[in-house]
Amino acid sequence: MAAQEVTAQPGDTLTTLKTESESLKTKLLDERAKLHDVELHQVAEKVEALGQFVMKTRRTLKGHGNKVLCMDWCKDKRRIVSSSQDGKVIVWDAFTTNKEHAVTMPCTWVMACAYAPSGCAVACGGLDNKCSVYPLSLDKNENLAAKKKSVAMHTNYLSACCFTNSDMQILTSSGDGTCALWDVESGQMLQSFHGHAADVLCLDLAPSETGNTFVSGGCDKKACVWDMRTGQCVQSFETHDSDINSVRYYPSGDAFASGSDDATCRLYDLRADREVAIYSKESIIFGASSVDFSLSGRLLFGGYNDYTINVWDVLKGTRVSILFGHENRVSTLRVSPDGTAFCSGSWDHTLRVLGASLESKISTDCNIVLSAVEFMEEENLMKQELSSMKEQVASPNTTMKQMKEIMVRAMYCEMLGYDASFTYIHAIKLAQQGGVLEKRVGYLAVSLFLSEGHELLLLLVNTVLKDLQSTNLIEVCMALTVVAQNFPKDMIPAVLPLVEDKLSHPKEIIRRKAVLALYNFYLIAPNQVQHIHGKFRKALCDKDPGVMTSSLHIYLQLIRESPDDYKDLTGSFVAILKQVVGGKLPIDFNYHNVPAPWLQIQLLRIFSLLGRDDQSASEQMYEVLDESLRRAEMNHNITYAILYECVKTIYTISPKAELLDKAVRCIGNFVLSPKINLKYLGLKALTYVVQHDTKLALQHQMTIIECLDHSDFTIKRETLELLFRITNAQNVTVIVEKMLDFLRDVVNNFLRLLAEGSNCKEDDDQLRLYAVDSYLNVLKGNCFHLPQHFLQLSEDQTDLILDLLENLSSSQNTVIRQQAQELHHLSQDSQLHEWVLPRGAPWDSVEVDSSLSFLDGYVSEALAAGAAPYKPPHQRQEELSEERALSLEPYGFNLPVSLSSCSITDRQSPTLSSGLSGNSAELSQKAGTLILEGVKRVWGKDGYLPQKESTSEAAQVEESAAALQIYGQQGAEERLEPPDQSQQTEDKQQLASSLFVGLGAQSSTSLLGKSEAPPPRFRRKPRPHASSSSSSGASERSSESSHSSRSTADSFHYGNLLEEEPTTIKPSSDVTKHNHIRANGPEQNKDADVAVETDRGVNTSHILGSDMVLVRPNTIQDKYPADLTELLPADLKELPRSDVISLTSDPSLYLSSCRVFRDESLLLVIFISNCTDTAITDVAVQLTCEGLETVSLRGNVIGSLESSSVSVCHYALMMKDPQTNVSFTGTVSHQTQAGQTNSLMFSGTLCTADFIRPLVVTTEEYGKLWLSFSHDVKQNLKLLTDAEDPLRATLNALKETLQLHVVDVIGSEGLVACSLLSSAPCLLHCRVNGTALAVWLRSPLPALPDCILYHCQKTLAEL
Amino acid sequence: MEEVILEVMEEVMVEVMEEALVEMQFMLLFSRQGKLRLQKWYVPISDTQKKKIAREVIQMVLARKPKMCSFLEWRDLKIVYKRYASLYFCCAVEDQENELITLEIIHRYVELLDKYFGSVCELDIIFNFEKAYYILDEFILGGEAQETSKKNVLKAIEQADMLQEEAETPRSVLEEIGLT
Repeated sequence: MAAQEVTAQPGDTLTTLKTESESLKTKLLDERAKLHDVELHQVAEKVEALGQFVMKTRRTLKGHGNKVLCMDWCKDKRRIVSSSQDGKVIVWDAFTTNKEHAVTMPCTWVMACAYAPSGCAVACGGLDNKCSVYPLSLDKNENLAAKKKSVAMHTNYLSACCFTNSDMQILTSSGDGTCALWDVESGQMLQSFHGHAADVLCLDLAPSETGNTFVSGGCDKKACVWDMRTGQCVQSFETHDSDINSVRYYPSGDAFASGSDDATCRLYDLRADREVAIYSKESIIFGASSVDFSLSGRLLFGGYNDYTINVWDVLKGTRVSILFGHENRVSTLRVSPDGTAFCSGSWDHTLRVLGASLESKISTDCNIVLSAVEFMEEENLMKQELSSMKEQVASPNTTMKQMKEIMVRAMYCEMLGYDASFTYIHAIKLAQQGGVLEKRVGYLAVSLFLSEGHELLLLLVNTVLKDLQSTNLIEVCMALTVVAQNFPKDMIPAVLPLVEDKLSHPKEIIRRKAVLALYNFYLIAPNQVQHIHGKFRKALCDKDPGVMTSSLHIYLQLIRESPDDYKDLTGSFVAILKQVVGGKLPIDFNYHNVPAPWLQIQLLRIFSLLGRDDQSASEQMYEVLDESLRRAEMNHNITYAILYECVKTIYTISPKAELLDKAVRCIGNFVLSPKINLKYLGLKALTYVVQHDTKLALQHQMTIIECLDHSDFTIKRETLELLFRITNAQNVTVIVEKMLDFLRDVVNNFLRLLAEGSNCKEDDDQLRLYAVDSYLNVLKGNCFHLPQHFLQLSEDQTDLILDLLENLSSSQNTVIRQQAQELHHLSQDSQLHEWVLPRGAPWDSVEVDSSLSFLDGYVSEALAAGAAPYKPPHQRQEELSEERALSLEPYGFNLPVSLSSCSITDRQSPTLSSGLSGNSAELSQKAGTLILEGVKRVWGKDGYLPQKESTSEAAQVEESAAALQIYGQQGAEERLEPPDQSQQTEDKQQLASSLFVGLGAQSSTSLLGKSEAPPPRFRRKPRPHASSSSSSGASERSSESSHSSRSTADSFHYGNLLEEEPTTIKPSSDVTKHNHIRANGPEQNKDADVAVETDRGVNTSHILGSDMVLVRPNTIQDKYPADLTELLPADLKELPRSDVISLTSDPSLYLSSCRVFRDESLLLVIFISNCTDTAITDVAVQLTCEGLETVSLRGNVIGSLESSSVSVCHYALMMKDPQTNVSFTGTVSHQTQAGQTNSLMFSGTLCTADFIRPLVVTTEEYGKLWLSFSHDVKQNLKLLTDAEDPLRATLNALKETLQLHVVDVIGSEGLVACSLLSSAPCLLHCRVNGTALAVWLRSPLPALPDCILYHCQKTLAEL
Repeated sequence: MEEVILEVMEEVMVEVMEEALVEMQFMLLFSRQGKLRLQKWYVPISDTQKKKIAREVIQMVLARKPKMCSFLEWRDLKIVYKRYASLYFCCAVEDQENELITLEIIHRYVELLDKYFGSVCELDIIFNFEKAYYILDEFILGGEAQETSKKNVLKAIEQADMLQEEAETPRSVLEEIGLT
């Protein structure tokens, strides 16, 4: 080597030596470069490109409790050893995913493991600095740890190990910078390899049998090739820019590949002595942790820290495929010894075995897939099995016993979906000729293979006949079993007499089976068994309950067909059920302590058939039904099953009020059950009973509303079914709307099916034709919703198109006209047509530029022309919600329906009555009649709530107290709901009122009389009583004012009260009562009809006329009805801001604040409202907050504040050190007219979220930033799994509340960026991990990720 | 439009069985990986249909989340399923059927298997699937519950098994004699 020729001169300094070595190095590089005449990819240009490459996860090995760090295949291509950070080494069977062995190591971080070539031992090691060998034995119970042998000992961690070509030697690499070869038996070091300047991270043995070289790579960015005999480094390569994590020899042994933290993989050729290829891509920014070649060497698999596996074409240097699946870094990756699959291990605690699927058409030089067997798929195996079976069954030497086994295997093959029809005939033969146990299998096979009507069944008849006559009970049983399942219709007469005889067999099991056989006969050929109905009666009276139960099947059928013929049996059935319910049956028939539930249910069904429209029959049943309801108390599914059947029966037979009541209560138990299955059944029962009495649904309004939004499709559907049953003229719009919502999903699925088609061409065509036909019919009628997909579909039916086009071109709708035009052109130009709408192409392949970048030009033009900039939905939402916060209408009606008449009267019912109360007898009476008259209204706006109260109110003599009680009730409920839920609850109430409107109308009195208790849902809430009505009324008012803060009077009186304890009762007087009325009156009645308007007018003047008015009508709110935020300086108005919250108040001042989110700081805006009659002077605001920095302030000193005016002062705040919450305190001092100086303290809190701003970066920038930050935090967050796209939904939810910027969403990962007030950025890397969202935060500030994480958690928890 | 589509859907639906009189239409047992472990059809259906239905049902059931209810509407039938360890037990019943009792049928079947095999696991069913069929046949015959007493069902199975052993023992002895 050149370096050795140079002898060091004594006078040389270190620097000169260094420069000399550098120059020699460059010289060497130049020499190497001379050998390099052509690029690999150029040479490879002629090579055929690789085809479509599909690999799928075939097995997922779960069991490690922490990051998987290393794995290795056994030579048997089946077993895998893996090691993990949890200190476990597991040996897996990759076929079955079973764990065969597990060893717990004394240390965590087992970084290396390897399978011995013989498959009889595994080696592993890690932070224990040792390499231990564990022999594997077949005895699973043996303690592996006991047989552990420590082989190698390093001075630093063991990074990799590998057996040489025998079990006897092991090669290790270590963090101490050396590699070493050890003798396994003695633990002696045979050779050590020094040369790496830093930790050695990986090694790989040369593939050839005689190869005595290996390659290693390490933290010194160097890859060295070593000769094991001499211990010398024979070649070294240093072109990587970062640590080399993995090295693998090319299968031929002439080259090796390396994967490094510099996000590249490289290929080094040992003969050319240089790097020959780099595998990298701009988009790959994360390091490669592991590499391996396919068996042919054409493909290079690289596992990366960005959770992906990239597959490279070794020759062309291009990426062939990218494989997703892991949910964390891919740490290790190995191709199986036969090359049909590879296994990857990841920090997500799992290993995955990936195999190529058959459909991938990789060119033949790639061994990776090419054997016809799909990895671990049984197809070939099954085919082999089947062909060997075929041989065996055909062979005359096969004994019955063997045949039996073959038959069992054949059944299994059939079950797996492989055709084993050649064994059918042998199954019959087996049943015919075999001994008892062969017969058993034969009969079973027959019953599985041959369905009713199969011609081979005829061959069975003789066997059955023979067996029916057998003296062996088992044989008779088997024959009856097969007869009861599938028997040729025509042959029934042949066996019928024999089966009939069996009805009087001494053994009950035979009788039972005979009954079921007859039942089967009855089902397939009722005429054949007509003459033996008498025998059925005998069976019904059988002393064995099992036989009797079986006979009920027949009776259920018979009675279903003609109930009248069996009325005489009613008494007997009732008697049977009585005995059963009374516990007269043997205990064997108990199921979870319930006597014979199946029998009970069967009987109840029969009852419902017999008792329908038959008073006398029903009367016989009442008692036992009552008993059944009473007995079924236990909280178990089976009792609910019986209850459900009872309820159904009770509602089917002619009604008895008492029972109906009980049944309804039962349904209540179902509907309110937390168990979802019971809830479903409750809904189903409700659906059933509302057909008889629609108002029953009223009691469960809230549950129904909740179920309507249930995430479970089944529940939703059943709820809609229920709604359908209660549809009436008034609620039809809302219900139809709900159904349409639901259908939208279904329709999309359906259209998808139409467009993509299923597997069967014929069916598809038929379906499409039908769809088009139907659609055209629809179009002839009224067409204003025309899905685009439909046009895409209809192109298949060209002759229909013209017809369609004609219709459409005259459409009013421009969009449709345009589409029609487009279609027209398309149908004329077939080439274009093919291009635009590729036939049969799956939807996924249609590329859509979802960013709509082609519109950019247009947008910028429009903007230049003065168009308003686009506001993202959340911003619009915010603005909307702010507007909504101002709305004075307390129950703003959101539903897109107009509830014409009822809504007007409903809207003010309770309020109105309260507004009127206590004034004049005449008026209050009017209020009373208003409530009673239209019972509709009781179910109106807030209908479901005061269900009982409204009646009691009607009875109340003192109207005013009653009115307050309603209020109190309402208030109590609202108060108990958390504030943010109250909106939701209100929405639900609205929905309820619109859905259930008009249900109680027909029979309001009976309904009101019946509902003894309020809906149980509200039972937990305190119900104010008439005696305490005035106090509860007062407290209610205070709470209400907090919701809408619409009355200053209220705010003044109760504002503070509320914050602390909502139940605090303010001593109330008539005066406050009237205040309240005064304050609420106008807004409540805002859009009421004229009649009410006048009423109010009279009322108001009346109050004003009295001298009880305390508060000036000219309140702040009245004066600035729009919003306090209107007072913001113009430059702040556009900025996003929070709601205005009340800070504090005293008799003269009222303070409220709002946060305005400026890009560079947070503005805390304080509104100071003078609520006295006189001007206030010398107002000074002082704000102190630790942990925050005040950048600027404005308006904190006001010379004079006019009466009833508001002054605004704002502080620009910065947060230097991230803290989750910061509290601020302050005082406002002012002088009143009298010359007194008053001061008022206020305080509040701010959180990090207020100081976070979105950080707009591109994905590339994000990647760079990511690498540059050091402080990282990881945590799992809640994922909004209910949403359609959980990741996006979660990110959006976070974005809405926390002002984050979603940089990119790639697959199951999302990149999010934000910064703390334009200073310290924080990056979030989110990844869907099962039902959780794994978030990884990085930031230059140590405390920031924690703060942000805290807020994310909080946000998600509140959702 | 919705009406039309519903109509179309009805047309497309493969009629499972017109005279849907039988309580249970079919029963499937499959693993979490979607591998069929047992199937029993109580209505005559062609093999291709069976395959299609099984695939469809398995897909649907596997897609369900754990907190969802055990019932599913599928075509005009109800699918009632329950998961026990790695196995899904799944029955198709008529729409008007009482789903809870079907759920209990499944449970009783599991109890029977459990009692017979002694804390049953998936492997028991794989390796002794014919036994699982025998038990099912003894419990449900032709789609109707035949015998609901646990003791009686197991007694019947044991009797048949006993016979098997009796039949086997002498034979193996004879064989031995023949060999020696």
